Amino acid sequence: MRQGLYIIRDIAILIAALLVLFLLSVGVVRLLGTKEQEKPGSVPAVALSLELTLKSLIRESIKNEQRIAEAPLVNQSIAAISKRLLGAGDPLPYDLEILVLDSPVVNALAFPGGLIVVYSGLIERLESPEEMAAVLAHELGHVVHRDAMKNLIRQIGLSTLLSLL
Amino acid sequence: MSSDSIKLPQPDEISSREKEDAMGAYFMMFATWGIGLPLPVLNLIAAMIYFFINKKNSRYVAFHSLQSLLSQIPVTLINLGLLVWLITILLTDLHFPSSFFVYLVFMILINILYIVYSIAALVRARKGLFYYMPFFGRVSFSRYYGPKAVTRLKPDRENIPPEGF
Repeated sequence: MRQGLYIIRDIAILIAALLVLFLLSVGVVRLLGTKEQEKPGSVPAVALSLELTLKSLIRESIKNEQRIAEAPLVNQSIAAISKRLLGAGDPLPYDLEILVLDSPVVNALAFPGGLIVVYSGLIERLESPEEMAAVLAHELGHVVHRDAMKNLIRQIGLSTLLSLL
Repeated sequence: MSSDSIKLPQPDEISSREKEDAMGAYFMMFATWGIGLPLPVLNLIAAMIYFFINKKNSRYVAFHSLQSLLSQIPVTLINLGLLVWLITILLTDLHFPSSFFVYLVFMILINILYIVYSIAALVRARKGLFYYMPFFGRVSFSRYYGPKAVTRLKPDRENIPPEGF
């Protein structure tokens, strides 16, 4: 019978210890000032400068390995289309940069830091400026949601966890 | 039940083999932490294997391994909770709420507390002493030295002196 009382006392001690530790950890987090991010789904602020560094690195490697299309008319019309698209949506966290690559590949990509790459093969396939606008709007969506950076963080986080196993 | 009915082995009655095995029960936890850190269930499995191998050999070792095993269960669950939460965040929206950091600090504090208790138990087990963690020590003790254990663990063969002595 007395054993039961001691067990209850022990459980009470454990619960009290857990409560103290919990309050302590709440206090530590308060003190360190980890602020709640404003929007769910947003990338931490520290990632923004990292993103811009990545962007310039990616731009360098693209310029070294691929041929940039030297057609002022193409670049001007794409700039005009993207300017109209940008006016319609939310402001971007950084400047948009669009590179047109001279390659038969039919594709367009969005990289971290607001870098969009369009292959000339895609432009040849398109029949109207509206189609180009649709492609650019899709890539702009990736830029607005910062999908490239999010995927990068996700990949690095998960592969670090897996490699520890 | 009075404390007279329970006869505990004294430090000089416990063989050094038993002392080392009992110490190993706590040491096991540190070893598996190093190996299986991202998957906290591994140390629980190791503790279970250790317990089931050693419980037949000696009551003293069985008591210490059961105490180590039982006390690892809540700590492991808390660690596993953080891992599941982290993977969920990485797989979904990458949003780290401040409650996540509270949990992180809470988990670290609990692990530190647990390590302190484990080292205290480890040192005493090596010296042939009993050490009772709150609640877990009591449960483990009643399993191997409690009133029911006396009949449950009665050996089939025992030495008795000749009649008249």
